[in-house]
Amino acid sequence: MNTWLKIAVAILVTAMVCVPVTATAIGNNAQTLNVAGSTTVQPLMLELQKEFEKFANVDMNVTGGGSGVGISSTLNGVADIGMLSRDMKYDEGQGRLVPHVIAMDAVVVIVNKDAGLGDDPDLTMKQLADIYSGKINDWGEVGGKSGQSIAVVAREEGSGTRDCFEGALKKYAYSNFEMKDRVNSVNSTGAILAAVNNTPGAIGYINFNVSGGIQGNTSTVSVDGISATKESILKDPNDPDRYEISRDLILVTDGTETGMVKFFLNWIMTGDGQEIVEKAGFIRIDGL
Amino acid sequence: MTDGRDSIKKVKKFHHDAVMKYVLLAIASVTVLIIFFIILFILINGVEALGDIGIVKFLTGTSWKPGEGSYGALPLILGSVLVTFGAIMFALPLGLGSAIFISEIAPKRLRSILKPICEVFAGIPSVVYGFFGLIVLVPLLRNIFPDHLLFGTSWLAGSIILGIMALPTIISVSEDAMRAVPMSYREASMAMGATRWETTRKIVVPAAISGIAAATILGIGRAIGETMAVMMVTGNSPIIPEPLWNFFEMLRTITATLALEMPDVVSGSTHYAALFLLALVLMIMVLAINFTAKLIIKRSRRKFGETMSSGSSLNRITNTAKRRPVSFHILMLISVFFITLAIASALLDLFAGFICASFALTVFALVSTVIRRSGSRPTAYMISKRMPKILRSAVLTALFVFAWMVASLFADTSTSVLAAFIVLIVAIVFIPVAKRMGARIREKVAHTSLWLVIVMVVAILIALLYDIVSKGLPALSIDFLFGYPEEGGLSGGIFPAIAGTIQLVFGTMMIAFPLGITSGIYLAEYAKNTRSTKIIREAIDILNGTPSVVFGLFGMAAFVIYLGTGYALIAGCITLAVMVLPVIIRTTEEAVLAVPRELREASLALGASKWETTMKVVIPAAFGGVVTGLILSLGRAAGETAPIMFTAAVVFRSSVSLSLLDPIMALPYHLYFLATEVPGSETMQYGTALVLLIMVLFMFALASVVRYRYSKNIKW
Repeated sequence: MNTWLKIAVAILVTAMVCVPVTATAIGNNAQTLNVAGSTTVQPLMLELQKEFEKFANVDMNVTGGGSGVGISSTLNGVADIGMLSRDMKYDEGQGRLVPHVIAMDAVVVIVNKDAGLGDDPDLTMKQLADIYSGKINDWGEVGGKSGQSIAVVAREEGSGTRDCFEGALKKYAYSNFEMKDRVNSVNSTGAILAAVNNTPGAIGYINFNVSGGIQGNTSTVSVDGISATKESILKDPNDPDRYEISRDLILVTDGTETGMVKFFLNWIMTGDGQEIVEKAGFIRIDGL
Repeated sequence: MTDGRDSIKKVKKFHHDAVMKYVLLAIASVTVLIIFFIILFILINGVEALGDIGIVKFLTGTSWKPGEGSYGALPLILGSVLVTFGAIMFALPLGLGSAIFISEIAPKRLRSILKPICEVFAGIPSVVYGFFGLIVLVPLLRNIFPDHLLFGTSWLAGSIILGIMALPTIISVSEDAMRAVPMSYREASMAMGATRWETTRKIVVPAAISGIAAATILGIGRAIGETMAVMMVTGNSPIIPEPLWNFFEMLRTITATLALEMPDVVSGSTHYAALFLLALVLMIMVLAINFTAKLIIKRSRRKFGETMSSGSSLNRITNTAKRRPVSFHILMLISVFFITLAIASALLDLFAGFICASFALTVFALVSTVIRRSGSRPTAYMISKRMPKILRSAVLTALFVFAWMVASLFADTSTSVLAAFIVLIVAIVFIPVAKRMGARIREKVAHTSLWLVIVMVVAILIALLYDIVSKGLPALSIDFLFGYPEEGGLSGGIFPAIAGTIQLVFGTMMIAFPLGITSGIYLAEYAKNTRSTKIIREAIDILNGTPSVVFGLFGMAAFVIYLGTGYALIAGCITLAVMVLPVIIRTTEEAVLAVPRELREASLALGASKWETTMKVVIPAAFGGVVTGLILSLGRAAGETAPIMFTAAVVFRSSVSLSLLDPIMALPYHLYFLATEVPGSETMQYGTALVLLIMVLFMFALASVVRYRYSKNIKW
């Protein structure tokens, strides 16, 4: 019995010591560069971190959480840099956050092969809008298999990917476009891939950087005859052959960047940094 | 030894006693402060949204589109209610049937097998149920109803999974209630020539009805706060099903909304506050449910206390059987509300449906209260004499409406009405036939159906376990257990997830044990029965009933964003610790209180101080109970996903870090990630599920071994 008691006391004492030690540890990370935010940008940031830590003598901390977390943590000073896969809305930045575009990304539409759209499926922007607003519910109406219902998958409210997709439909199809309520909402690109792959007649949209590895029961869709490639995305905004469902990946800082943060942001825009951007599946914006 | 020295020692000892009392008090107050802080935190953050949105708009708005600034939470609240309602429709017959079987019919040996099986059900983590639902149930439903289910993810799938999860609560609590009915009741009934089934139906079940109602309500409470399993199988569309009973529609619960949208919101924004307000609504719902259950349990305890001591037990039991208890009344009210709502919203619109339903509810409540109150007055007597007939026609009407509702999902109006009529006629024909059957035959039929029910329930569990074990075993290998994930989770191992879960459990233990145990001991041994103690107990109960996703919300807002830990082991540990604190406090307190007073009195009479008595007499005696509670709480912490998915767990770690400030991988979150985001990783999913299951069930097995050993050793 006594041994148990001693163990119990030991645990208690350890815990008592642990808590204050931890508390001081939390407040004591001055020498580091904290980055937080979008899970879309996070894999890229982890690659950048690997190289940048070799290049400059810093200790980086990269955490995910979502674009919202990126904005919140930069605003309250927890993170030096916030990662965003969407634009800042309303007054989210409170006039303090400065955006820095580091790469481009596109949203690629995918369909399940049972939709019957053939080997190189193509849909117009208007057809996409009609499918996502619920006007068209059968693949037969857009050149697919008649009688096959369209199962619509979408990202959750607030996701940068959803913002980008909805924004493009609003801009190029109907300005009053509104996504229908009866969609299967999931909270990651992977989940969309899984749902579209497993559901006959499903349609969904994913990030460009994972669209290269599409396989199995799923194929990518070109929009208005243009498929998403590095070239078509980077085309001039007035070029009719431009792939339109694209977005910027943004890093935000609180006020104008200084010191190590500035150094890091500049480094990303160099050839070395942009090389990593491209390797991570995003589109480099330095013109190479 | 001289007298002087002895008394000095004594003074020291009692001085020591007072000091220890205040140390305990201090630690208990810290715990209480934490609890109040969390409740306040959610309250304040949520109330902020009221100004921006407006309570009426929030509760009655039918469109949840935070992107466009519309925060109508009705679809989400209805989503939670409907999915839970469906779960209970599924779980109540199965659960009640199993409970009757275990308590009344099963041979002793079978019972001793079935009870632990039931506990295994309760121990399986939510994410494993969700995984099973997603990978087995959803494709199955899609194949059965190809015209109705595009995805398979639906209200129906959610309700079935939630129903399975609510089963253990319903079974064990109502079985306890039935076992608590004194044996003499059964003997009296049998002596009058009743069959065993008649005894069960007319004596045991009515006598235990409060306990059964409490079990159901507790099951509802568990189901409504569930996050992971529901989120994985319901499809998450924030819509109100059309028609309202269309269980093929996808819907979204409050919990799933919190889990889906929390990472995307900016702290301080309206959306952020709206999520906290949702959490608050959820907490109030769960609180109301648990409070009702507590009330009913209290009542039934009092009832049995009286019946067992007073001589007129037979008199009382006939009374209970005749006078419908309050819980029955409540159930009737709820069904009136929903049936009217369903019909009216089908004919008119949803809003009108609500008004009609509330009206019907009020009328029904008034009428039935008048009948109950008016006691021996002639009109009331007339009505109560006809009550069985009224009741039967009510049941038949409900059956008709229900049949029509289900049929209308498959066929047009006229066909479905016809189908409902056929069901009605069959029922009307069947009742007299059943009445005319001999008591023996009825008993045979009843017992056979109960056998079927228990076989079904056990089959569900075995199917689940068999599926996971048989497909998970091939995945297990040294490389899997000690390797790192590769190709985004498609191959490789899960070592960092295993390590992360162990780190989480260990950290949770470090924080929760000292706080929880000392607070429990303080409450049991030192706290006086004052109002402040009562408030503390209430606060602990509130925290105990709080859904785990709310803790995740709190952890993210308080640690990840506000304190700026980012996703970190420490944030996850504190969140989990806060979650299991009430369980630890409660079980410690109960175990300590279960130690007979005579032991303490004997120790004090021998001259020991209060502190010595507590440490050397009470705690050793309560040790088994305390340790059992601790292990169970850790088992729960190991399997939880919602509290860590916004605070500590990430998808990938390239090394196992011991730093408290680094994020970790964890088994439940890794399973969730693989199941929802990595198509083609089935083997890895099953392997992860199996490892998680083994870890959690091992802890539960350990707990029951400890409990068994100590209950055997200590006898008073």
